[in-house]
This record gives sequence, structure tokens and C-alpha cells, in this order.
Amino acid sequence: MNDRFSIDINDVSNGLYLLNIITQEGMYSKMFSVQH
Amino acid sequence: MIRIFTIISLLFLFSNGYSQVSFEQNAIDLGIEDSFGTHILGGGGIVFYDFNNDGWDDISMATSEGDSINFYINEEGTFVKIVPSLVNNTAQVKNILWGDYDNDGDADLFVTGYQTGNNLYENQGDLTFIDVTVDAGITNDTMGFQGAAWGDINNDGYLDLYITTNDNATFETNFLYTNNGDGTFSDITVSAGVTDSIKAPFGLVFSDIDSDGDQDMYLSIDHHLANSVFVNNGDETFLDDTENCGGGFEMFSMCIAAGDYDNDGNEDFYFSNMTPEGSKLAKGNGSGNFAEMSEEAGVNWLGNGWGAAWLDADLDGDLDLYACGCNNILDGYESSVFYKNDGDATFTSLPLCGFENDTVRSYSVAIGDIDNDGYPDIVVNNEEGYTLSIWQNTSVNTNHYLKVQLQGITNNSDGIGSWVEVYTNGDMQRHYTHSANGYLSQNSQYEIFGLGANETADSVKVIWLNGLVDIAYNVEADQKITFIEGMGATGIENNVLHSFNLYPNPGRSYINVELSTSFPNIQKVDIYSIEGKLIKSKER
Repeated sequence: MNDRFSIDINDVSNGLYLLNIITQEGMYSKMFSVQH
Repeated sequence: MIRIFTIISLLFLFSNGYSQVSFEQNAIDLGIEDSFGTHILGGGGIVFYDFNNDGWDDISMATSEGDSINFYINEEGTFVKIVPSLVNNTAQVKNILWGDYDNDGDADLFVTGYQTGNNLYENQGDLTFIDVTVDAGITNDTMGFQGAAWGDINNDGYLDLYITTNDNATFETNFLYTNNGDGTFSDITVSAGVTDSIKAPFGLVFSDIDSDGDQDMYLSIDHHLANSVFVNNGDETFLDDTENCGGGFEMFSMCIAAGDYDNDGNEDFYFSNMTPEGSKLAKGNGSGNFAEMSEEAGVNWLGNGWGAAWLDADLDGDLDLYACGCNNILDGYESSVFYKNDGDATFTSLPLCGFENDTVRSYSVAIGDIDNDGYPDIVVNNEEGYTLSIWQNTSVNTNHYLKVQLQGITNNSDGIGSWVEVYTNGDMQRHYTHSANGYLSQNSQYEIFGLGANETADSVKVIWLNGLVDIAYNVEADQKITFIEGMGATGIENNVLHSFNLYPNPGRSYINVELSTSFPNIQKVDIYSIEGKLIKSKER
């Protein structure tokens, strides 16, 4: 692992979400949940 | 003497490259003795689909007017008829089609009826069904309904529906419904430009013929009219490209069977022909154009052809072709044929692989795996008076297989309209996921890939209809894996080259994204709700 960044989710309500990373090679995805 | 004869026989067996493919018709031994009743215009459909989601392919069989639809549960390799039938439907049934139109995780049922209307049945989750046709807004007029297919034409994650009509000499409109996501559908046939009302279609497939990420339609057309090609414009309208695409063959086409026979990454389409001029093969170039290759490929089957299906019968990594029809062998035509893919985009008709004694007149064909041994089997719905045929694959070789199942999250839950790519030793096989395929037929939702001698697949990649990608690396052969959208394949230790981690999970005020060293340059990061709504988007 050599790169890291953060995304603010303070304004995202509780629940299940899908994060998509779009690159020139395609799209990569993972599920995550928010629980304030 | 016996030993010498055995050795000579074995030497002959293994010196003959074709001998490894064999099929046996075992329907009665497997528990099915039913036959289609009095048929009207082309018999009825057949489905080889695991509708109770227990990992075993079940069979659904259309029947004639007065008979209930037959459903058979696969109980670890033999079939048990469900009595009474799952639904109260005694119409002249044409197409049976499973699909999770409401994305609630179970298989719903759509049935076309010839001059008796259509029925949409919502699965209550326990294989009990409610007829929701009227509330859903689907036509149940008395028309010559024939084929149907689920697809997602607007990439909204819900299955849309196209229904064909063919009342022999009377030409009628077809129907395209978009799924509103609330259990109802809207008829957009006219505004979408897909009435195709001066044609006589039977089947259709949704496919991405121009590689632009949305679902186009290709229809098999009867009465020596051109097979229709509708290119999705991306705005719920279609361009009728039949005349310009090179694939609008004028023939008496009964079925369209989709598959990539030459492993070039583009779907190709086999059309049966009811008249003796022979079937056609449309080779797709991935840009929406086609070349007719039936004679060059060696699959120009002559006679009265109806059903057909692609399958990798010997698991050697390329698609073979089975076709059947309503030939009378006294006229000099075969009842059915099996074409072995020679691996160079040509085929050889195998004379002695089990079908040589087939004299049954047949209509629809579907592919599944009876006993989960990885070898694809064939089920055929025949003309009245003939018991259903189950051609059990009895091929013996040392080849390996991989089965892939899809489960969409923001895409439709069946994953229809996805590309599944399997890589072995630099070679790629690519399957597009369909609902309907063939003549009034639906194949198993488990995509079967032959891996040849390879004991692992180097990688398996799923490109979902909305462009999402999931990849699993170093996947062992001879198993079924399930890709859940956004989560890769279940049960696989993924040696992912381009991986990333999210933490903390659950997140409270922020979520960290940590990338693997080889991760490609990021263009954008999107966050979607589980309902498919875009919540955040961040350019990088």
C-alpha cells in the first residue's frame, strides 16, 4: 500500500454504501457502512 | 484376445479427437416423462434455470392449452415434478422467463401465452406467486405472443421487458416496457422506436453489440423478413440498424442463439432457419456490424431448424453448437446436430456423439448442468407426442471447468447484461449474461467456462452493466464462484493486484481509502447509496 486519502462522510446518513474508484483501466468497488 | 481388442479400442478412442464428446438421452431415468401437448405455431419453450436458488439447475417446461406449466425441482441430479404447478396457468404457453424484476432477491416469473395473454408472477420468497400482470401494467391482451427477454435498457438497475408477437401471417406490434422500480412498468414501445410491427419475430436477445455499455436488441424474424437489429441510443430510444449492420439476414428465422464462438471478445449470433436453405451465423465485430459466416465456419445446417444453443460440451475453452428442428429424416435431413468447435473459428459436425439416433422433432433448447459435474447438459422441448428430451453430457476427459454466478447490488440483482471474462495462459473467454437465449428458451444463470487442462483461472473479471468491475485472481477450477457486485467473488482468497481497503468500517466522520502499490491513476471516486443514488463524487 502506498497511497491513501480520506473522504468526509459527516454529511452522509447512516446506512450501507458502495464506493466506486474510477480509473482508466476500469472501476473498482467496495461496500462500506456509515454509523454516526 | 479381449485385452488386445480393448487396447486397440482405447487407442482408437483417444486417437479420435472427437470421441471425447458424448450425450445420452436420459429424461425418463432422470424423472421426466411429460410431453408438450397439441402445439400451435412452433411448440413451446424450455428453461434450465435454478429457480429455487439451491445451486442445482431446475427445469421449467411450457405446455399446450389445457395443461399446467410443468416445473421440476432438481434434487441433486434427478428431477421431481412440482404438483400442483407453481402457478395456475393452462394457456398455450410459449416463453417462460425467470428474472428478479423487483430486485428482492428471488426469481419472479413471466409467461407469454399465444392468444391467451401474458402473466407476470411475483415470487413471495417461498416459491408462492401472485399474478401482478394488471397492476404492473403489462399487456395481457389476446395476441400472438411468443418470445420475451429481460434486459436493462436504461441502466437504472431494474429489469425491463421486451415481448414479441408472431401470429403467422398477421403482423402485430411488439412491446417494450421499462421498469419503474416500484412494481409497475411503462410501455415505451412507440417512443423507443421498437414496434417492429411489420415483422414476425420469435425470439430476441439483449446484447451489447457495439460495446458502448448499454443493451441493444437482436431479433430472429420469421417469414423471410430481415432479422431486426436495434441499437440502444442511451436515452430510451433505439436506432433500427437492420439494413446497415450486415446482420439483417432475410430468412425464416426461428431462434437466435448468442455466444462468442471465436473467442474474440464479441458476441456472435446463430440463427436457425425453418426453410432448407440453411442457418446463418452473424459474426459480431464489437462495433455493431456483422459478417455472415455460416458456410465458412461450417454450421450452415440444412433443414427445418428451430432451437439452438451454444455450450462448451468438452470444456476445452471454446463454444460448441447444438441445433435441432422439425425435420423428417426420410427427407434426408438430420433431426438434430452437434457441431464441435475446432478452436480455429470452424466447426466439425460430429456424427457419433449420441444424437445420431435422434428422430424426434424438436423446438426449444436450454443449457444447464444436471449433476453439477461442470459438463453442460441439454434439455429439449419437443413436438407433441414426444417426451421432453434431456441430453445428459457423458463426455469423459480430464478438462476442468469454472462456474460463475452474479449478484448485482446497484445493477439488476441477476447481473443480466454483464460481461464475465475468464483468463487462462493469456487466453480470454468472454460471456455476456442473458435472460432469454435461443428459441423461447432460458439457460442456467450459472455461466459455465471450460478451462481445458488448466487447474486454475489466472483471473476472472466481471464488468457489470453500469461499468463496475470486480476481479478475482488465481481461481481454482472445478467450482462455482459467486461475484457480489462491489465485493468480488465469495469464498475466494483474492490475490488482487489492484486492491484497496476502506477503514474504519463502519465509518463515523470520515472513511480512509488505502490503495495497493500497483493501483492505477484515479480519475474519480463516487459513493452510491444501496438504492443506487449518487451521494458524493470526488474528482482526483
